[in-house]
Amino acid sequence: MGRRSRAAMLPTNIILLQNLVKRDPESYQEEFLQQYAHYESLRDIFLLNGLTGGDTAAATNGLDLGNGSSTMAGTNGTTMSTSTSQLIELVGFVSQVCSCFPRETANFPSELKQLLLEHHKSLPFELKEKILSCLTMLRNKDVITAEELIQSLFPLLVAYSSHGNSLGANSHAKELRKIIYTNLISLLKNCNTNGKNQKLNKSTQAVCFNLLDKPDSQGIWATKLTRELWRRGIWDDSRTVEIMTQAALHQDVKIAMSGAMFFLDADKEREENFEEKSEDEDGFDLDALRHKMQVNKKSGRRGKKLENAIKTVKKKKKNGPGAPQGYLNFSAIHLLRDPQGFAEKLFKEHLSGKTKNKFDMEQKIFLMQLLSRLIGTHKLIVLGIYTFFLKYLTPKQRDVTRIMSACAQACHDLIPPDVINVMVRKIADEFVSDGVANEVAAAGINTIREICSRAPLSIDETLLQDLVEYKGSKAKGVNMAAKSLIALYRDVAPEMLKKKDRGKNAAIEVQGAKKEGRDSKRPQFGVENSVHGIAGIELLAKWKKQHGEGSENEGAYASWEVDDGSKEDDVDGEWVSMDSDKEYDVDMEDSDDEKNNAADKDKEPDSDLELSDDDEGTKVAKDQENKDIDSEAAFREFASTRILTPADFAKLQELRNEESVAEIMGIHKQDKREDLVDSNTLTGPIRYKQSREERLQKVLEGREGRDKYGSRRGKRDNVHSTTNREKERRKNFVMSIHKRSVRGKQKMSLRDKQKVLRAHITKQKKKGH
Amino acid sequence: MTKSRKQKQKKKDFLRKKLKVGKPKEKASNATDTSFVSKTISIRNQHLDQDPHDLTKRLTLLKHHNINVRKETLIKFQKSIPSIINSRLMTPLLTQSIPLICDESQQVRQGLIDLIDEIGSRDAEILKLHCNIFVLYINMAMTHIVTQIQADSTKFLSHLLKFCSDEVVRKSWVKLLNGVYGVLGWGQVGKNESASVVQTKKRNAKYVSIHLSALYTLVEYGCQDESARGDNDAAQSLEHTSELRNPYLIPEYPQPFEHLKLFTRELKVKDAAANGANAALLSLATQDIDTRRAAFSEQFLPIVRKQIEIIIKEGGECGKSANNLKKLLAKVFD
Repeated sequence: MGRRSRAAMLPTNIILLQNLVKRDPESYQEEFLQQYAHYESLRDIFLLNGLTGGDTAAATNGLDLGNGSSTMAGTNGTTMSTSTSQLIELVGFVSQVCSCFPRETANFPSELKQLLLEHHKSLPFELKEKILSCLTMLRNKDVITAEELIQSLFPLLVAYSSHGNSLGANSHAKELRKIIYTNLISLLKNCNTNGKNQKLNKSTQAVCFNLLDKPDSQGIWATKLTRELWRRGIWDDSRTVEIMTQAALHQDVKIAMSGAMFFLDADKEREENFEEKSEDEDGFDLDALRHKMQVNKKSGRRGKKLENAIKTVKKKKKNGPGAPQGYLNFSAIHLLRDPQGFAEKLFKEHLSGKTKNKFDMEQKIFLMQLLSRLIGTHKLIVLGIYTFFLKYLTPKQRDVTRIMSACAQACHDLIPPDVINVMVRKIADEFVSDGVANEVAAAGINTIREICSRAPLSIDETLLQDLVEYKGSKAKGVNMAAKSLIALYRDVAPEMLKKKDRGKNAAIEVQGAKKEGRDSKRPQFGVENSVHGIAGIELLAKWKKQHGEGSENEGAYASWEVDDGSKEDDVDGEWVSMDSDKEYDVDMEDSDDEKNNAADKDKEPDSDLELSDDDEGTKVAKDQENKDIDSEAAFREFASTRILTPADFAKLQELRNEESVAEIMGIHKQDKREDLVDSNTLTGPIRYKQSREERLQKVLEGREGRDKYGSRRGKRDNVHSTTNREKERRKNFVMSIHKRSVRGKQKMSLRDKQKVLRAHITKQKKKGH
Repeated sequence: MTKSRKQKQKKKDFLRKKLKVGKPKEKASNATDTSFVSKTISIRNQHLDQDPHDLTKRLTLLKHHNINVRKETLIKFQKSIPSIINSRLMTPLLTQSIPLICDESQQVRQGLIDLIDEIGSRDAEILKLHCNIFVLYINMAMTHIVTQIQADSTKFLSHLLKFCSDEVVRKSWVKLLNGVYGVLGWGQVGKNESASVVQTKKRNAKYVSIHLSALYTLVEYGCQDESARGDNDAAQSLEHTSELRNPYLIPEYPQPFEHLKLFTRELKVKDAAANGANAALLSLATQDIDTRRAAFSEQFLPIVRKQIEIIIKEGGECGKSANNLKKLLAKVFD
C-alpha cells in the first residue's frame, strides 16, 4: 500500500527526488542509480567538451574565417552554461544523498576532487564553486575526512594565487581564493571547537611548512592562514610559532615581512579579538573603590577621572575569563623554541647579510623592532645589532623615534655595558646638543633614559651629569626628560649623580652608607638583583596599620585554619588564581619578579629564612616609622608573624588595583620599566602653533550648545521689521554728517561737551537697572 | 557709463556672426579637433552583404528558447542537407544538434530524428564520426528525470543503430544495455522497480514495445554474426577476407585502438572491484562478438528472460515484440 502511494509521487525534478530519497533511500534506490548514471554521462560529456572544446572552436573558426567567429564563441558559451547548470544541480544532488548510498557512490568524492584538481583550468567558475561547497558538505557529513579536504584545498589555493595572466582573464581567481580561504578557516575552526584536533592541526601545519620550504611566494598563504588561526586562538602552540619563524626567515620579502608582523602584533590582535567577545566580569569591587575615593575628596572631576582610570585598568587586565577553554595565553615570542638562534639568523640574513637591500626602510624598521623585542624579552645577546643601530641614529633619519625605541628595547642588563655605551654616546652626540630642536633633544634624553632603565651601567658618570644639566632647559619636553633621568638614577645609582641632584632620600642613604663604611648600592655588571617577597605587601601592611588589628577581619583570620602540607597543591592553585595580576604580564622584569614570587609562595611559611641575605637597605626606611613602609620590611614582618589568608590576598588585590588607579591619576608616580617603548612618547609633548583655521575651529567648538549664554546677535525672538533704532544705526554716515545736530556737536564748548559726557556716563550706569 | 573690457567681451559672445559668401563658417570656440595623422588606417570589416542563405548563422537558432524556432531550424537544415552534406558545416551542425536529444519538446526531438535519418541515408560515415558523443547524449537521455525524454531515447538508439551499428556496439555495448534496462525498469541491483516505470508501464504499452524493439536491434547487431544476419553482401566479402585479415594491416575503421584509452581524459577510479561486477564490465572493451556475448549472457540474459515471460503473458503489441526478442535470444544463445 505504502509502495503504491509512493509510486503516485513521481519525482519530476531533482529537488523533489532529493527530498524523497532522503526520506526513504531504499525505495528510491533505482531512481537514485538512474540519476547517478545521468550524472556520470553528463560528467563524461563535460570531460569530452573540455577536451575537444578548444579544438572544435578552432575548427569552426577556421571554417567561418572570421565572419561567424563571434557567434560561434557565443554558442559555445551557451552550451557550457546549460549543461553546466545541469551538472551543478546533479553534483549537488548526489553529494546531498550520497551518505545514503555509501557503496554505490564510493568513488564520487574522489571524482569531484580529481575534477577540481586536474581540470580546474577548464571548468567554469560556477561549477568549481559548487564542487567546493559540495566537498565541504561531504566533509560535514563525514564522507571524507578533513585531511582529504585540506589536501584538495591547498593546491588550489596555491594554483590560484600565482600572479600574471597565466590563468586567463575569466578565471575568477580572486573569488575562488576567497572561497577556499574562508572554507579552510571555517573547517579548522569547526574541527577545533570541542577540544583540539591535534592530528588535523599537525597535518595542516606540515602543509604550511612545506609551502614555506619552497623559495617562491606561495608561502604567503601559510602565513596568512596561521595568522588568522592565531588570532582566533585556534592555533596557539609552539609549532605554529615555528611556522612563523620559518616565514620570517624566508627569502621572499613579502613572506618575511608577514612573519615579522605576526610577531609584532598578532598577540595584540588576538587579545582585541577576545576582548570584544568577552564581557568583562570585574575581579574587584568597583563600587567600593569609587565610594572610597569619593569619601576621601568630593570632586566631580576627580570622580570622572577615577571612572576613566578604572576603565583603563579593566582594559589592561587581560587575563580574560572569557577566553575559550584550553586557550593558552602565551605570546608568540614567548613560545619560540630557539629564540637565540632565531634572532641571530634574522639579524644575519635580513639586516646584515648581502641581501639586506631587498628590504626598504619601513620593512627594516619592522625587522629592527622584532629583533629588539626578541632580545629584550629573552635577554638574548646579539652584539652586532648595537653597531648596526649606529648608522641610523641621526636626527635626519626618517622614523627615527621608532628606531630609537627599538634601540632601547634591545638593551638589557646582561649585555656588556661598553657595547651599549657606544650607542648611548652616539645618541648623546647626535641628538642632545644646544643646536637641535627641542623635541630632538627630548627624544635623545628619553631614549637614553629608557636604555639606562634597562642597563644602568651603560652610561658613564660625566655624560650623565652633562645630560642632567638639561633639567634647567626652558623647553618643557627637554626639561621633563632630564628630570625623569634624574629620577631614574636617584633610584638606581644615586652616586652617579651630582650631590645636589640626588634628592633627600638618596642623599641620606648614601651618607649612611658612607658612614658605616659599606660599599654602596651601586649596580654591578653580572650581579643579579632579584626581588623577593610578595608584590604589594607593603600596601597590605599599611592598610592593616590604619585599620587596626581588630574588627571582623581578625575574626575571619581566626576562623581560617591552617592547612597541613598534604593539601598544599590545591591551596597553591587557589592562591595563584587570587593573586596573580596580569596587568604586569607584558612587563618582562615584573613577570620575572612574579615568578620569583610564585617560587616564594610555594615555600611561603618558611621563606623568612631566605631573607637573611638581603637585609641591607631597609634600615633607613625602618627608622622613619610613619613614612613609607618598605616592602621588604613589610614582607618580613608579615610573613614571619602570620600566615596570609585568602581574605588577605583578596584585600591585597584590591589595594593593588587602587594603587594602579592612583598611579594613573598621577597621585604618586613610580618609575615603571615597561617592556615596550612607545616611540610616540619619546619626543615628549610637542605643541605646535595652531593655524588660524584650527584656532577658529576650537572657538566654534566651545560655542556649541550654549544657546542660553551665547551671543544673541542677529537672532530675533519674533518676526518684526527693523526698529527705528536699527534704522538709525544703519543710516548712511554721509547723510547724517551734514545734520545740524551733528555739526553742532563739533562747535560745542568744552564745558558743554563735558556735561554731555557726564550725562552719558550716568545714563550708561543706570542702563542695567 | 563705460563698461569694462570683460563686460564688452561677454556681450560679444552673444552677438550673432554674420555669414559671408565664400567663407567657411567660423568654428565654435569649444570645437574639438578630431583630425589625426597616421601612416596606415585599418578599418574593421563590415559585412554588409550577408548571404541570406548562410546556414552558419542559423546554428545558433538551435539554442533558441522558442520551440517553434528550433523545430523550424531543424527542418530547414534537413532540407538543405543534400547541398551541405560534404561541407565543413556538418561537424558544427551535429555537435550543436545532438544535445537536442534531451530537448523537452517532443516535436523538436522528432525533428532531430528526421534530420538524423536524412543525414544517415545520405552519408552514414558522418554519423559514425560523431558516434561517441551521440552515445553519450543518448545515455544521458535514458537516465533523464523527465519520463518523456527517457521514453524517446530508445527511438534515437534504434535510428542510430540503423546507420552505424558496428561502431555503437563496439564502443559502448554494456553502457547502452544498462541504459535500455533502466528505461524498461528492469532493475539489476535492487529488487524494487523504480517508481516512475511502474506507473508508466501500465499506461503506455506503446513505448514498451519501442523499447523492446530497440533492445532487439541492439542484441541483434551486438551478438549475431554478420553472416547469420545475412543481409548484406559486404559482410560476406568481409567474411571471406577475415581469415586472411592481418592485424598489421590498416584496419577498416578509424581509431582502432581507442578502446585502450591511451589518450583519453578520464577520471581515475579508486578501485573498480569495489563497485561490483557492473563497473568491471563497464570498463571492459567489447571489441568482438565473443566478448559481447559473454558479457550479455553473464549479466543481462537471466533478467531479460524473466521479464520477457511476464510481458508475453500480458500479450498485445508488447507481447509480440517480446516474442520476437525471445526468438532472437534463443537463436543466438542456444
